[in-house]
Amino acid sequence: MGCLCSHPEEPAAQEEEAPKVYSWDRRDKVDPKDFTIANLKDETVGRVPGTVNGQQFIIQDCENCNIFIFDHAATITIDDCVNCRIFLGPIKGSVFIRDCKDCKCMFACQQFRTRDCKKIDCFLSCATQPIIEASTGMKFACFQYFYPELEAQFAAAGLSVFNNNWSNIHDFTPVPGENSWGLLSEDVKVEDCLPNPTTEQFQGVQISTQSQDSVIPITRGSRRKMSDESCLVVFFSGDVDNRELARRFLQKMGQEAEGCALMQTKEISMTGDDVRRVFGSSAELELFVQAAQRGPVIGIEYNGTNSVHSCKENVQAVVGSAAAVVYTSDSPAKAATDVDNFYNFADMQMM
Amino acid sequence: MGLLALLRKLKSNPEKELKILLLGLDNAGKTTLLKALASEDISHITPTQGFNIKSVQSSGFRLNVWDIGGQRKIRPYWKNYFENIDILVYVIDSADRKRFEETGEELAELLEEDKLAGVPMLIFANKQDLFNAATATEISDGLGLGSIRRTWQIQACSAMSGEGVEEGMKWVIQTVSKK
Repeated sequence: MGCLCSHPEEPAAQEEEAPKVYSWDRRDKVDPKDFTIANLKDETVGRVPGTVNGQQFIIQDCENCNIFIFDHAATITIDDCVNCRIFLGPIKGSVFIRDCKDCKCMFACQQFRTRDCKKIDCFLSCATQPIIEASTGMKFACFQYFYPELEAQFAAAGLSVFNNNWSNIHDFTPVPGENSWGLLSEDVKVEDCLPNPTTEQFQGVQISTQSQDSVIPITRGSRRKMSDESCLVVFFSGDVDNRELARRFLQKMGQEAEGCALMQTKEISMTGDDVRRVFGSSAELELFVQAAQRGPVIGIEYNGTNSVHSCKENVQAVVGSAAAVVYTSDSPAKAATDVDNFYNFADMQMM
Repeated sequence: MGLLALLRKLKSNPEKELKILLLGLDNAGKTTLLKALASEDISHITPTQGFNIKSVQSSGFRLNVWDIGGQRKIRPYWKNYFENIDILVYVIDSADRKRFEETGEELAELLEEDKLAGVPMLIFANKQDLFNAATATEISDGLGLGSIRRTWQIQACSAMSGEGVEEGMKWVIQTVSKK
């Protein structure tokens, strides 16, 4: 205890404790203007990497603007915007859009929420189930974007690039006989919705909107499956980084397994009991149980004729002789139960 | 008397159970607070569609905490949870200034509820970690909390970092211990 607190002439506080000092009492004041974009019309504005750095951000009352936040943030609210194009880098908490219409968006977040919105097209990466309320004309597609700093920003926001529930929307206010939301057409091009900024501010940001460059693996989510055959591949933690292995596997599948489509990916922690329930019949069960204790697993579902064969071949190609622990479905019949077991487990953890 | 109740009665030092109701607008941070109380991971919290319950122990009490979804559409269902509440915890997103009026109106309605009459209320001024957060004093003045006629307290907190949560729960325990 510092002696500054105990002036002898003052009676020591017996009953009342000194008011507690919290981190927010001590922090430096920020200039709200640095973290707010408001009341603009017909402008291209935003923030470059390193300038938001995990703060809250506020966007409001903009019309016909192009807004690019190329950084990670704590949480973002977007209010009363019309006819805007908005890119938001990874958001640790929620993005909440209210009273907006005719906007085209690209967001990555833990939580996605809307209320009182109309006609929003959204390329989305969301770690939990996105929700909408009193919103109509909502269209969704998978997040598809790259710039060099983006991957580290996902990590800084505590988001895994493998956890994306972009297509599974919960509507709090469904209207019988009407579709308040749907999926964007598969052939919609990112650059048509969200043209790259050409203003001087953003010249240093090396953007790619090509699908093969995207930091988030592009999944079909709940889009129609092309085949009855699926395959589950699970990369366990081990001496070789399983994120790196998963990434190389996805890349190789993209290049070589033409008839196979990536449906969903998931990164999740599993206890030994979880592993026994999901992979119970596998000969390598104990190996999986041990590996799951070392860190989260990454599960990947491919769909397409011959997907089991293609997955096995490409797992072999990326793993080679490395000591990696990987589960691949044995047969199309086994794959169907594998996919259900693994993703049902994963969905149950998302409460 | 049910078997469970009988067994509880036979215990020499029965632990007192408290029913705590967490309410507030959607996105206020109710589930994050609930998970913080139970020391659980807060990095994958889905917006609550129905409700969540957790049971946590604190100072010899068993706290049964009910966290009810806060979307406008489902607020009419809050009243289904009003039976036998020991403490009402109302959570405010201190950084969402656009909705202070809305949260004030919901709070005022709760204070009028017969079934919640006299139930002590803790108000968490949550999300103090965000730069746009109003202080507990600003919220208290802005919402006119001074006119509340029951035992109540406002506590600044960040459910995300956990700061302030313990102090709020300490008030809860002290308040019910006095009863």
